[in-house]
Amino acid sequence: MSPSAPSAAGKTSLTEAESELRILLGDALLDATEDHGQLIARVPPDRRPETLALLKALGFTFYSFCFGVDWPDENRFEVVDHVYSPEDQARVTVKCDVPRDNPRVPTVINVYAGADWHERETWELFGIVFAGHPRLRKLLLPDWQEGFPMRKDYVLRARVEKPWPGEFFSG
Amino acid sequence: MGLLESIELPKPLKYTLNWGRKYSLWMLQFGLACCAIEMAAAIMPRHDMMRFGVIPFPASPRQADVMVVAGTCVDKMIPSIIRVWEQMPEPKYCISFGSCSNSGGPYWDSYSVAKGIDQYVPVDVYVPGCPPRPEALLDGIMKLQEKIQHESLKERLSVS
Amino acid sequence: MATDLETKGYITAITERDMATGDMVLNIGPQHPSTHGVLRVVARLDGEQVISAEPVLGYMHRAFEKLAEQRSPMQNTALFNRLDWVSGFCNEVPYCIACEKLAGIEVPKRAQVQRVILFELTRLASHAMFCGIYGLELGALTPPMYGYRDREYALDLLEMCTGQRMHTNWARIGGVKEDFPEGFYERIPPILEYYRTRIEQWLEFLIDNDIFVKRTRGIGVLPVDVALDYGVSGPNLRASGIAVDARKEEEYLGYMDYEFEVPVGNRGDCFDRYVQRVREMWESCNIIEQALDDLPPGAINTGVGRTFKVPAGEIYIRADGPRGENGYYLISTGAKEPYRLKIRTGSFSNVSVLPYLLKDTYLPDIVAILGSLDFVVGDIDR
Repeated sequence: MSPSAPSAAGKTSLTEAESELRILLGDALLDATEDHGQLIARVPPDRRPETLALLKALGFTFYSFCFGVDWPDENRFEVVDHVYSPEDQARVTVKCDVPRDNPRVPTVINVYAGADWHERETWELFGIVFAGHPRLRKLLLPDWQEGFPMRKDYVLRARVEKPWPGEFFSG
Repeated sequence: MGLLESIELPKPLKYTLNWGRKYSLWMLQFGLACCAIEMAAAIMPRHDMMRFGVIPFPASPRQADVMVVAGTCVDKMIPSIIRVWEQMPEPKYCISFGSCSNSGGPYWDSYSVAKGIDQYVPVDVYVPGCPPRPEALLDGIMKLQEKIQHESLKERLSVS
Repeated sequence: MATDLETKGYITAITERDMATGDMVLNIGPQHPSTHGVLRVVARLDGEQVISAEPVLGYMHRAFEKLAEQRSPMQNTALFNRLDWVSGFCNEVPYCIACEKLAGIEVPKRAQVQRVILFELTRLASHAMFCGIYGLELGALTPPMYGYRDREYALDLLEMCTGQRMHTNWARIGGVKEDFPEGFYERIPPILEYYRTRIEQWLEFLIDNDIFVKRTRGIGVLPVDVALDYGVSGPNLRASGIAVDARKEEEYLGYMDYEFEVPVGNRGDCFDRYVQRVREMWESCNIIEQALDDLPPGAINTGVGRTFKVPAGEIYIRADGPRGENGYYLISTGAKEPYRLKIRTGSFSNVSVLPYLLKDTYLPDIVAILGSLDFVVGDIDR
């Protein structure tokens, strides 16, 4: 089974998206690669709203999700957005790096209304502040939750108190 | 102080009273997660809980006898579970259905899951499984009925 | 005041002056018979009219993404069944495909076809339950009895093959766990016949019912551009009028080899969403029939082993589940456990459109709209 590849129209759409992004951002487009059927574009955090606005204008109207990744060794968080074009069946992932000690990134709620809940969830799990979001409140976690659970330094205490005994058997 | 709390009933009367109570349970389903689907399947025609005398849908917790906690007990939900439990009048029973409410289940190491509902609410019958078959719930109800049959209401209600 | 008394009458004037009404905040849930699980909706009402309604989530947040980082692929497969708990098998498959594609593993054709058959059987079970439960939401007590009875036939088949009714834990990296048992192949066509007759009955059962039509036609209309903006997917999006189906767009599980239609609605109201799912049940029966003819002999697993480490890389794989687009963004650094696994579920995005849908409706319509979105709270909260 061959790796998932976009259709012919999708491939054209990805190259077109890449070239439009280069025109818009110039040197600010840090990286653009096609990997496993999607275009991964790395942009500075303050250019995130206009990148997504350009993609929406190009036909990537389906806002799939947004999430964060914690890279503690490199002292950064990554904010990842994923959009999809239903007509061309092409996918673009937009990544931004923010420093771990002051994670702030502008919101894209004015571009895609669906980013509302995804950004709230990323904030409460990682602590990444989305500047401009009108109601950055807890979505999934209870009010009394302390800390940001998805960070790598948040340990699951149940595993620390008693390591899972099956580890020995599963290699 | 009522009659039932102050005297120990004679055997025939106790037998009849418990027999009546065990076959007329009004079950409040606290269906939280996957086990709720199997609990609902136990009510539906294939497995049919009503032939055991257990009627499924009370209008409110204040009319219920048995609370079946089916599904993962997330920390955020615990206050609601306790509040509903306190709304039920005595004598009340709790069946913990599924491994999540027995002991935390597959999410034993999660930061937001309570490791078993028996930390907050007294449980009478534990039904293991993930999810348990509907027949397992029927078996759990039968065990609860056995427990009710041999129960002394004086001991239960006069605990202070 | 004197003019009021003359024109409107004494009682009306006094009522309007002294009994001015204000908004009421009504809290529905989390323990409520009709919220489909532990979803809490905080509605601001003016009489019977909803001014705004906001869902409050988190009552089933079990932290799947954090747990996935501590578990090997086989353990993760067992865990992800519990995301969209009504259709367990549909959650395992995209994760296995993501690991396979990163590792470049080729899945044998027989395993592919078996995965398709089980996937569509799970979809049949899920939609049959939806049809039943939706009638219950609107106050009819017979549909859930029929819905659960129909669901039991698909669950019987799943149990015969995998041993479990709901959380099958059957997909493995490289294929499926075991081959179909003896007699399983022969038992499927009569069940499909049964489902085909039931689908016709589901359409007659509720569609001609005046109360059902009045409670669902024109209620909760979701326009296509709003749906795409919020990331709504699955039958909800297709009922709004656009044919977005991952089975036709992604090459996974070999769906490209089968002929089936993607039904599309035209108005995007609750009625269309109901009919959409019934029509998709029909198409699922078609797919299973074609897959049964397509089943080649051969291996059902490439034999990857329990100590398999997923190579480094990142990939996003999505599948079209009964709730919507069910995708996994897997970032792996070469260890057994994923470094970061983002679980994209259909219900999270479907429910995020609720504040838009519930504006300016009436209180009874809240339940009709919630039911028609067919979400599962484990899918929302993960």
